[in-house]
Parts: sequence; structure tokens; C-alpha cells
Amino acid sequence: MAQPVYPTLGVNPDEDGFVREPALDPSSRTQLEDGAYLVVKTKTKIPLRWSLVYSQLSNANKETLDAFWEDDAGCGAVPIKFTDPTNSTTYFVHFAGPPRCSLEADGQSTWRVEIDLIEAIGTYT
Amino acid sequence: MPEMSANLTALKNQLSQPGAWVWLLTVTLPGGPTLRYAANTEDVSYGGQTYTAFNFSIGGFTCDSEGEIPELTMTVTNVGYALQEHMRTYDGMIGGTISFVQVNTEYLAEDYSEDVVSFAIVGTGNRWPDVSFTLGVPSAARYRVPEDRFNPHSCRHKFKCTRCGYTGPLTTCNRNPDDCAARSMFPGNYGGPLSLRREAVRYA
Repeated sequence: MAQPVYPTLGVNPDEDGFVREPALDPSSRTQLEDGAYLVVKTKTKIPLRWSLVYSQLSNANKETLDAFWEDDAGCGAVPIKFTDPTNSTTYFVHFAGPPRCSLEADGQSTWRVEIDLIEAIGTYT
Repeated sequence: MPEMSANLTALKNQLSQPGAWVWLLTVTLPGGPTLRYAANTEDVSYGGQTYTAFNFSIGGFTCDSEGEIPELTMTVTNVGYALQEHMRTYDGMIGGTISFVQVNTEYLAEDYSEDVVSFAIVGTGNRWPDVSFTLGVPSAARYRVPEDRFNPHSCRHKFKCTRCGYTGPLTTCNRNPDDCAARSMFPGNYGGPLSLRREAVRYA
């Protein structure tokens, strides 16, 4: 079964606040007597995490994201297909939490929406 | 003492090590399947078996001279209820065997069998989303010692079985020497250790 695809909003997330980084530190460190550290890795693949910030998002786009998170993505339970706009690479990710939405003080009824994603473990299509 | 192969000894002594050291877990259920999991973000193939990526952690293990039976706790994240069915079907998985070993993913062709540590599952706790297993060695106190109980005033044979030998019309027996004599089977077929019979009851 094909995974749901992250909705096309027509706008990219802000560059300011965009995060793509390893989601966990897989290393195990042991300090040696001479001050050096023995560091070993405990995982073979390190999942990534993203933080996306949409500022001045229209109400329609905000509703689209909310509905996608609740229905297609199963509130984060279902892996979704997400294309990172900075490198055009496709990843399978989970929502790490619900979209955080706050009304912008611009008199235009637009929203500031923050989304956290984390790479899904496993193989999907 | 277990001996690691030369490759592994050299590898573990390096300050800079390639690959990842991953815990592999094998759960052997009594009369059930063998489950294989890797504490990793990807499946791991080792020894011709595939260990499914799974989230679990192993607590510390201590062993002292206080005479206590050593135990440790292993916690498994059970968000997907992967273990639920097995826990229900196999009595909480108690009595099963858990073996784990840490392998280096760059040296999966090596033989790590000397490093495998095995424990019996002696307790299971289930508090969502985690399942905790209490691991230890089978408690010697669980076994009856001596294995058999000998009572000269009680026959061990099942009534009318081959060893009892009685084929008459009576349908019950109190398994004592008087009843056995009343059925004309005493003493030849009596199943109690008559040599232990004295003034008082003796058990061995």
C-alpha cells in the first residue's frame, strides 16, 4: 500500500527555522583514564528529524495540513511520503506531534504553523 | 573462559571502531516460535537469521556473594503490540529463554557464540507501552527436592492400573495397606515403601 503524500501547499516552509538533523545520538561514550573517549556506534542507520515553519499560511492551507495530519497521517501513526524542499529528496516520515498553529498578527487571518517530522523506520513505498 | 576470535579481540580494543555494535535478542518460547530482534533502526542478518529492528533495552546485571539469585530487567517497547499475542498464548512467556549478544555490523561473518548470554524469563510485567521481563536463572527453590516423596502408608500406584494389578469389582481404594490387603493385592502389588514403615510415619 502506498503511503500518503505530504500535501502540496504551493508555498515552501520558511528558511528561517528550517531544521533537518539526526534525530538521535547513537553513540556510546566511555571516558578513559587518559582523558580520551572510546566511542562506539550502536545503530546502523540514524533517522533524521525536520522542523518546518510556515509563516503567514492561508487558512485553507492550514486546514489542509490539519486534516492531513488527522486523517491520512493518522495523527502521526502512519508514515507519509515527504519531499524535502531543500534537496528535493523523498523521505518517509512520521509527524512527531500535531501541527502547532497560531494566528499571525497581520490582520490577514493567516497562520504560523510549525511541524515536526521524524524519519520512519522501515521500508515503505 | 570464552575466547573471542582474534579479529574481534583486535576490533574491540581499537579506539576507533568501524560499524555499529548492535544488541541481538533471541527469545525461545516453550513450545512456540523463536523470536529474533535487533536493537537497531534496521534489520540485521547474522548467522543465517534475520533479526527484526525493534526497540528494547537491557538493564544492568549484578552478581554478588550474598546468595541471592541474580536477576535483571529487560524493557521492550511494545507500542505495536508485537509481543502481546505471544504473551497471551505462552503464559506471559514465562519459562522461555532469552539470549542476547552484541555484534559488530562490519563483522557479521564472525562467530559471536562465545559471547551469547542466556537467561530464563522468570517474570513478566506489562504496562503500556513497555513490557518488562525479569530475567534470571531458573530458581532451584522451584523444584521439589528430593524429587519423589515416599510414604509407607500410601500406595503410589493408580487404582486398577497395570502396576496395581487389581481387576476385581471394587471401584475405589484408599491406597493404604489395609485396602490393598482387602483386595488381595498386598504386599506384592502394594506401591508404598514398606521398609520405611515404623511406629510413626516417615518420609524420605
